[in-house]
Amino acid sequence: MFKDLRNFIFINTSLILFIIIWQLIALKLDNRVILPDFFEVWKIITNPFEEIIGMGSLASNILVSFVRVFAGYFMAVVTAVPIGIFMGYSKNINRFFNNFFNLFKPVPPLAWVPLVMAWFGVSSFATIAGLETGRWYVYLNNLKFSMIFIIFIGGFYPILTSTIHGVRGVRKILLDSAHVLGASKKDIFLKILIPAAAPSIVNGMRIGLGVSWMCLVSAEMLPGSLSGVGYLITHAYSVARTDIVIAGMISIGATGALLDSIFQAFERRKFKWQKLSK
Amino acid sequence: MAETLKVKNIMDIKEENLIEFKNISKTFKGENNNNVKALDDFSFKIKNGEFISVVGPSGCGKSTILRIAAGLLDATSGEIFFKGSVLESTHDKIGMVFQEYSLLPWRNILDNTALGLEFKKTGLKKRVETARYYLNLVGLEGFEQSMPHELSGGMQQRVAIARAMATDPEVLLMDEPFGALDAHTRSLMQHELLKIWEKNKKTIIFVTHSVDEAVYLSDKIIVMSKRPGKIKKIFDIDKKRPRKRKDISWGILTSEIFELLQDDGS
Repeated sequence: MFKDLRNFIFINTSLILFIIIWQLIALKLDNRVILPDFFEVWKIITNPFEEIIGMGSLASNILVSFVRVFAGYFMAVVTAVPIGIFMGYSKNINRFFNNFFNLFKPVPPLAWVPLVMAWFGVSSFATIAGLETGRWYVYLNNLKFSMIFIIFIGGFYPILTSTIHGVRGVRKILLDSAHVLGASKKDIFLKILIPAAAPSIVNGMRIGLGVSWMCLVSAEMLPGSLSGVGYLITHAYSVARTDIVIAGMISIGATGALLDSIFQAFERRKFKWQKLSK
Repeated sequence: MAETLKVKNIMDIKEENLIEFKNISKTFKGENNNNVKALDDFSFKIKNGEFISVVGPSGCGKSTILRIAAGLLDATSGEIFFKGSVLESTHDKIGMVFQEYSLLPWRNILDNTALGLEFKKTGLKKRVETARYYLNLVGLEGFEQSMPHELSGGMQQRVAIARAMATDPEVLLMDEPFGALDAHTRSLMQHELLKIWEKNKKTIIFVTHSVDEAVYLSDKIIVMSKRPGKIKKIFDIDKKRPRKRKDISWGILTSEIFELLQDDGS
């Protein structure tokens, strides 16, 4: 018990020191717009369901962002994983797609914004559903194609790269022995390649989710957005509510870290064999 | 007349050659026309139930022979006949054990052993039963739920043998299966392999670096020359098993094979 407490203090010392310094500077400056008091920010974070500056609560904005991320990220997973598996498996498929994908890889997801705005404008899932009013309109209209596309691009490349790498890294001897044991093509994919590459694929999915999350928040800061944590931050900035800006930033970080740790826990549990069988 | 001929043919296949290598050559294409001829005109007939070893210097193409027989590699020229018909790709009556550890690290030992049966769509109950039987045969009862990384190298190779035997092949190709093991484990494994072989009399083609291992195990030893690999000499060993290393005949045979190998300066 005492040891746990000591451990807890040790790993959080840097964070606690940071907060102390922040608080000291804030008290000295005594200017809420430049640097608000830590406890003001803390109050916003600990009351996530309270309405702020006429924009809904912190929690509801995080939820909006979250749903957006999942829409785009889900598309990235269902496209990048299969494409990556085939590119990793076949030299010809790889050669066919490689130049195409590599050309767009260095383009930062946000550089797509002007083009994507020109393509999709403010259309959203509500546009497809043909809704113009009502409760569902409000929900679906939050899922703008432009944002989802940017999230998709952000998540796509880390997942694709890791998947290709994972499939290529499968030891040839595993494939050879499966062939001799009478494996069909389908067996090779489902019982050898995919499970063997799974740790790398899941690792790519974890990194891709992080990138998606970062892209989203940036995308929400762009014009045309009306909700989400990113928008909350820009809006709070325009009304000089620095405390909300910081609270928004902290919740972005905390949500990202939480998602990442869920993934890590899954990886540790499922892929124990990978570390141990080196 | 025709009748008797037919009967004789079947007898041929059964008694004479279970597997026949006919003028097998293999050239590996390298970059810039740097072709490497690994195997040159390899011909050999193997009877049902025989234990054949192939020894030779590194790069003499001895593993290549097995890989071609397993269907993992195509010969540049020549053919392999299995029970009288040409072998074109993998065959469900030909199994293989590799030198490298080849178990699937995410599956437990039982599921690894049953892998080939799973590919053949055998029912779950029969799969488990068969896998257990062969795990017992290689002395690994009680390890069904263990993971490969929990087992020593020797135990992993036993699983690989059990896995290959579980699909009931007629020919077992073994590519230096004990090459990565320490000397003590290695001699134990040789002993066990003989026991298993005597029990079910599979035809075994065994590639090894070790002359000692070949002499201990085989009915016939094929000695290969260095690249491009050709058959240099075939030794018929009719001595009864278990063979004793202290016997004079052991020493004579071993040193004769050694001298042959040394002629090549390898």
